[in-house]
Order: sequence, then structure tokens, then C-alpha cells
Amino acid sequence: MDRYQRNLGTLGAEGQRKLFSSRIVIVGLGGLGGHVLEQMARVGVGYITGIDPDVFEPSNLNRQLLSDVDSMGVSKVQRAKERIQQVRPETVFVGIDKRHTDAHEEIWSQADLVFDCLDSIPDRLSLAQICSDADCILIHGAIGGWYGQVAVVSPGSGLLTRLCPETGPGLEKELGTPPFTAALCASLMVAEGVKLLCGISKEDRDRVRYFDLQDGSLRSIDM
Amino acid sequence: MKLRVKLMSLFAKYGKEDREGFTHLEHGTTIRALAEYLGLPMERVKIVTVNGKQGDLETPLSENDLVYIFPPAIGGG
Repeated sequence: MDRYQRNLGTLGAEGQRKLFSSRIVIVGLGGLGGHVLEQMARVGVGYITGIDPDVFEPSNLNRQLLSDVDSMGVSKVQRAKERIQQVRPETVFVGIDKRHTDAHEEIWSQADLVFDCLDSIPDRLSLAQICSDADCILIHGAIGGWYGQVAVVSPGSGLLTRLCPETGPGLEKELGTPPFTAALCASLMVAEGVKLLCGISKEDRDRVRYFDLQDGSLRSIDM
Repeated sequence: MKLRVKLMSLFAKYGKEDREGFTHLEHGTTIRALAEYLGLPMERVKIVTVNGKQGDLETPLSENDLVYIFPPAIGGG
């Protein structure tokens, strides 16, 4: 248990045990998903499914933790599997190199939590609908420039529909996706997820957290 | 109507604050009127708070209200 020593003061033994048996799904293994995967494995989550149909390309290198100069053209799911083996081989990792809409239904119904690490509005909304249908909580994160948002989406709440614009690209098309914003957003997502999985907090559903690294602010809005 | 308006991130460039940090809304009394006055892209005005509480385009405004308007972020990959 030495490797969890620095978790226990924060999570408690009972919280840590809950993580060992927790099942999560990470949809998108890019800027957000790579950090979520890394932290969820290190904190001790027992079962992780990673979904991403893409391979790495040079524009990923500024922020995507799973990418390096040797992994150009390599499947993101393959790199995720290798990383889990290096970091915490006890975690059972299942990689799906398809779109989330092509994944089997039982993946969602068996999940304790799903992480939305996608990068387009239609994909995010379709994932939210899948999770709602499967009665599964969704942790949403999105970034653009210095700025990001994180939300815990309850099944049936329709929160993501209220958050997303009907048309047009998000902030990232204009402002980019720098590494520090991606890492912070992913950390906030993981913190929300760990609180739910450990039973530390059940109060943060349908609340959106916004952060702006330019002015250093973090704001929570009840929706 | 004198308001304190905080436009977050990409919306900051639409700000019309005076030297003391106030925004003056001459016509209308709602978030929609404020967004139109500022020239914000209406389809992207999704999250608004007035004095710390969630609002929407039709939320009425009063003198000295504190308004935050957030654009949605979408990136992640």
C-alpha cells in the first residue's frame, strides 16, 4: 500500500478502497483525456475504458500527455494502454479505437462515471445523451485559451444542452488549447470525479465551474 | 442604468466600461438588451449570472447589478 500512502490522508482508506473497485470511461484521449487517464490510474481507479478513434499528430504535442515525438501516427488507445502498464498495471484498461457512438451499450451501463474529454459540440451532446439514457453521471470539461469549464452532469438534467451554443466553433478555434489550461481542466474534472467515487461529495451536480487563468479566477454557478 | 459588467475570456473585447468600471445601459432593462448594446454574439451567450445567481437573456436588471457573462468553451482534444 506504500504507493497509495500520499492518497490516504486526502481520501481515507474507505475512499481508496472504493477507487480500487471503481469503473470509469474516458471518452477522448487527447488534451484532457490524457491527463484524466494518468491521474485516475495514479489515484488507484481499478477499471478504465478509454475511447478514441484517432492517432497522434504533431499538433497534439503541445498539450497531449500521451503524445511524444515517437508516437506520431500511433493510436491514442494503444499509447494509453502502454501508459497504464507503466504507471499502474493493476488497473484493468480496455481501449476502444472507435467513436463513442460505436461502443457497446454495456460500457455505459457498467460505468460509475464517464469523462467527456471530447472536442466538438455534436460529439459532446451525443455522449451526454448516451450517458443520460444509461443513467450514468458525466463529468464534462472544455477549454479555450486561458479559460475552461467543468461540470458534473446528472442523467436527464440536460445541462450540456444549456451550456453549448447551437452553432459555431467554441473558443478554442480562436484562442487555441495551451497545455496549462488542459492540465488544470483535467485536474478539476478528476477532483470532481474522485469526490463522487469516494462518496466525499454528492453536492456538485448541475454546477458549472469556470476558471480563467488570465485573471486567476474560479467561479461556480448553480444551473 | 449603471451596471457592473464582467465579460469573461473571449467576450472581454466587447466591454464598454467607463473609467470607473461601470457600463451604462441606455435602452432596455434585460440581459438581452445589455448583450445587444455590447454587440455580443447572441447565440454564444449561454451562461449569465446577476449578483451571483444564474440568469438568462430575459433576466431583468437593476441599477448597480453585477453581471457576469461567460462564453462557452468547447475544446479538449
